[in-house]
Amino acid sequence: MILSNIEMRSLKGYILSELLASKKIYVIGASINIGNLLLSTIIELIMIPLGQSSSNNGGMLTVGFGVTCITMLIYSILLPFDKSLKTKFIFPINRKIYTIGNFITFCVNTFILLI
Amino acid sequence: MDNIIACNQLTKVYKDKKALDSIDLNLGKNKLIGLIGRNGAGKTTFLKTCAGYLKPTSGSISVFGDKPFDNLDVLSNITFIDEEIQYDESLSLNDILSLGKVFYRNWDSVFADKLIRYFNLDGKKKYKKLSRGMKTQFNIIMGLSCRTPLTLMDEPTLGLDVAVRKEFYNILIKDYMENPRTLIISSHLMSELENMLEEMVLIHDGRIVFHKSIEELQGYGIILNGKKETVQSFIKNRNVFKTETFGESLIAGIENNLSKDDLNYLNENNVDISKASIEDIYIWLTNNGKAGGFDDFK
Repeated sequence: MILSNIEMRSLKGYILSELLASKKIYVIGASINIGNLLLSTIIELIMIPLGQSSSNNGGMLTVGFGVTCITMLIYSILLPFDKSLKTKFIFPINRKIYTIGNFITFCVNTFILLI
Repeated sequence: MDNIIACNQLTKVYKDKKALDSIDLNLGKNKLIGLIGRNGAGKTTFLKTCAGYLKPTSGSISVFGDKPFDNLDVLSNITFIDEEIQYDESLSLNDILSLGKVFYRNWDSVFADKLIRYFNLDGKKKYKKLSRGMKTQFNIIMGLSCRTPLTLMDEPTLGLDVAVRKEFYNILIKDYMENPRTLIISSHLMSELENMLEEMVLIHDGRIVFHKSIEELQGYGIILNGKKETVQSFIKNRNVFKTETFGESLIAGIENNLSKDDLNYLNENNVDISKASIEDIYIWLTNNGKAGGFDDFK
């Protein structure tokens, strides 16, 4: 087994703490998504009378890609803040758990924000 | 394994300061221990080293028979609470309590809930919305509910009023009796701690000055009050902690190793003898050679 029982407990706790702390980021992500949705709808509405639908040239995909980039950027900026780093080691974790936990939560958060 | 913490020549050096200087110390299992010392004496560094937050510069420290730094087997059995501890500000108290349950094998949810209700804390409230005193109360609740075999508390009652401090000590002592474990508490409020501790460790300038049981400490020092010449000649070859002159009288704090003859001599010469409090001894032993106090300081 790669991780012992203690490590599994610690990893589980760490991921849970990160996900609970990410609630704020989800709200930011959702706000960006809604903003983008509104913006792309407005663009679409403007384009239609001009006879240039953005869905024809993959505009929505571009918007989606943009959203992903922005949310990942926000997440990667927020993650290593010194202030937030200080709160990480209150509970029993070591550097191994911190690394694995961060990787997992990064993937999970990005996935959630993509959805 | 009777010793939970064993230090051998433990040294921790920050850039230009030796915070811990060749400490040799063994602390036993299931003891309520007080760690005392002045500001900057090395108490926090010592506790943080025990808690695995800091790596020793030289020497060794073993906690539960192993090095604590980055060692999850050790860390999962330790709780460290200090005033700097900040749980994630975005989390509610209930969120943090639920994390405690996941992280600690012996987490006592019933006790935690009871304490939350007792101290009138709202579990739905965000940690960042708590006042300083409330944060301290919550940190204490976390520290006690973990039920880890080793709990380290650095100035746990800072920011609490007298009433809450007393409540805390009552809860602590009752909980300790019901769930024995090793509790190390550092504090400046000696008089409040004195009656509940079993052992005391005095740290000064990064060195251990003493590690004694409370019984030993309570009889460790005495205060002599009498005629200047009489007291002066009596204390000549003794371990003197403090002297203070008041007109013709001299008050001296010395180590209590008086023989029957000494006692008779002091009685015959009308020298008053009184027991020194642990607080007195603490102040005397950490006065950095200023035995005469501010008046005699040049």
